[in-house]
Amino acid sequence: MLGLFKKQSRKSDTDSSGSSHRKQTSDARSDYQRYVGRKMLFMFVMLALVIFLGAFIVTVGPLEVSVIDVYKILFSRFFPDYFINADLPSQVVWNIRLPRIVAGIMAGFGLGICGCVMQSVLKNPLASPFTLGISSGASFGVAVAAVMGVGIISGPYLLVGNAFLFSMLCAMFIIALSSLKGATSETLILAGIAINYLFSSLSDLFHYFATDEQLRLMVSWGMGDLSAFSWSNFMLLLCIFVFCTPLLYLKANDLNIMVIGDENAKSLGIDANRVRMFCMLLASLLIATIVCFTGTIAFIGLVAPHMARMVIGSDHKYLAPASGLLGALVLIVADVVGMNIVRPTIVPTGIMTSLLGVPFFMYLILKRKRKEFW
Amino acid sequence: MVKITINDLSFGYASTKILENISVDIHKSSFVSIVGPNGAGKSTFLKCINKILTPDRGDIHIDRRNIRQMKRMEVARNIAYVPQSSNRVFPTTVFEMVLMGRRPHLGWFSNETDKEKVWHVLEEMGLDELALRNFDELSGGQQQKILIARALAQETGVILLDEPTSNLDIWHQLDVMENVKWLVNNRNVTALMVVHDLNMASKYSDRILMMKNGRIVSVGDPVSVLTCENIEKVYGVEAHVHTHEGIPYVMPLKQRGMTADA
Repeated sequence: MLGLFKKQSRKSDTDSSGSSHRKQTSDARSDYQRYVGRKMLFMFVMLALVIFLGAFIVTVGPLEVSVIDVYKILFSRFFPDYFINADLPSQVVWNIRLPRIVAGIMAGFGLGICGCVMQSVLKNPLASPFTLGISSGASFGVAVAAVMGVGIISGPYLLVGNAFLFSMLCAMFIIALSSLKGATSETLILAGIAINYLFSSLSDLFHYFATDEQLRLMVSWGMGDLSAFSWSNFMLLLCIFVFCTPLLYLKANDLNIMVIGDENAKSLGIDANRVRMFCMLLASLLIATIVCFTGTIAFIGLVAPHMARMVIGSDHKYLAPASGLLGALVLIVADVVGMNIVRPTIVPTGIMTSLLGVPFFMYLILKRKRKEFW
Repeated sequence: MVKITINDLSFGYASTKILENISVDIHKSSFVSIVGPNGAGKSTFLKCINKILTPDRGDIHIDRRNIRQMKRMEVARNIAYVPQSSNRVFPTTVFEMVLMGRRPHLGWFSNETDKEKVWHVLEEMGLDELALRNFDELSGGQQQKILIARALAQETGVILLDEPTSNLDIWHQLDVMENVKWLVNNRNVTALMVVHDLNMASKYSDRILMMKNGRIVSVGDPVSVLTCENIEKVYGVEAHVHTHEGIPYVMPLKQRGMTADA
């Protein structure tokens, strides 16, 4: 509470009071260092947990394979000369379990980081990666493919291709709206909701006319499931990841500033509209790619950023990766529970994430101290 | 020496004119207050200078460079803006808030030098103990000082302030004004402040710019601007002006007519 005014008189004070001030100063700085240290520690623990859990989950499944055998199988893929394995367990571990975990980590990370970005650029805690209508666009695309059997690409990628096309279409419409009219974040959210309703109704129309088999395909796709992911998709998803996430992360500082409002951002040299469009475009690309392989896993993108924010505050240099890590963590845990809770039935991932994530999130909201982040 | 030249500036939204034909020179390291009734275009004027809004007509030069030809980032390196308030959706720490002021000087990320500068500003303003506090939990006075600290961290030659004292008690009003005055005197900063309190403007500023309906009515030192005639003309208020230690103080007496009409 001491202004510069006071400071001037303080300068003439005796040495002792000067040194006491210096002591306070170093206190504030060391507090800050500890604060940053805690954030780094949290991130490290999260990363370690994701890796550890991934390594653990790969050993769990309906087919009994011993832990040692699982790792023998995994290593044999890299060093084929040293390990020889039975065929069936090898197929299960390498082609079913591992891709599922990799998909879970990537999808969760992508949803988390995009949710964080969307909330910040739209300045709205209710925003999620699906605010721009991506999920309803994708399910419409799937409905078109399932019922009419038409899409931009045919064959095994018919569904995926259509989902991607229509989700990007929705996102691009909203982004175009923001570029043409210089729309505010409120307008964008409203437009997103409108688009959501439009495509939901269109999908419902297809549901109404679909046969049982087609309906089943559409509904199960809508629940969100990691099992559709296979190694053949991995490289594509990885490329999009490697392209989008670093670019989004480079905007961390600008995202910090976006939160304080467009005019304030402009006064700090940030062209708010341009940053918003850039981030929405990258996030949409990433999310559309994830959604078309996994279906809509709705809860994580909304909630992972909030969880991360409660723990480490809202500096995007830490918040963005932490949201991603938390998203990955929640998703793989939910998925492994869903796979094993009512064997041999596999509960779809999207259902399980909400069933597990909601109580945990409620707990976090209720126990949160108002004054601090921790 | 002239720091900012404003030449024939006009700005409007669709059909309504907000600013009309404003021309004025602002001298280096001077403290200029902008006063006038609500809706006179004072805040809009500041936002035009800061390139937040683009004027319809007219030019603004800072250090003889036209801001139309400057990138937004470049403007931000020369002009800092202290908003009336800052409403955020998500909690931000004081340190992060002040660190934002370094953005115009950064590449992609803040480095240790920038953090050191933020610490320096915080210590200088006696705010370092608040560094990890959440901005929203602080009092109005503290928030205002942190917004000023952010402008200071921006290290600009010009600081624009939009009613920085509007919801502060008199102790904090004086504190903010003293801070700005100190910057003007010791750091050669040029300060442009929109303020409603005529007495604060009179006590601290070198020049007062009186506006009404988007036009400048009177510019000059406090004694020449804050006259009974000007106040009656601009605000529609009959006032008594008395001078204490060479500074005019305004005591409003009664309204003339219903509102200050054009």
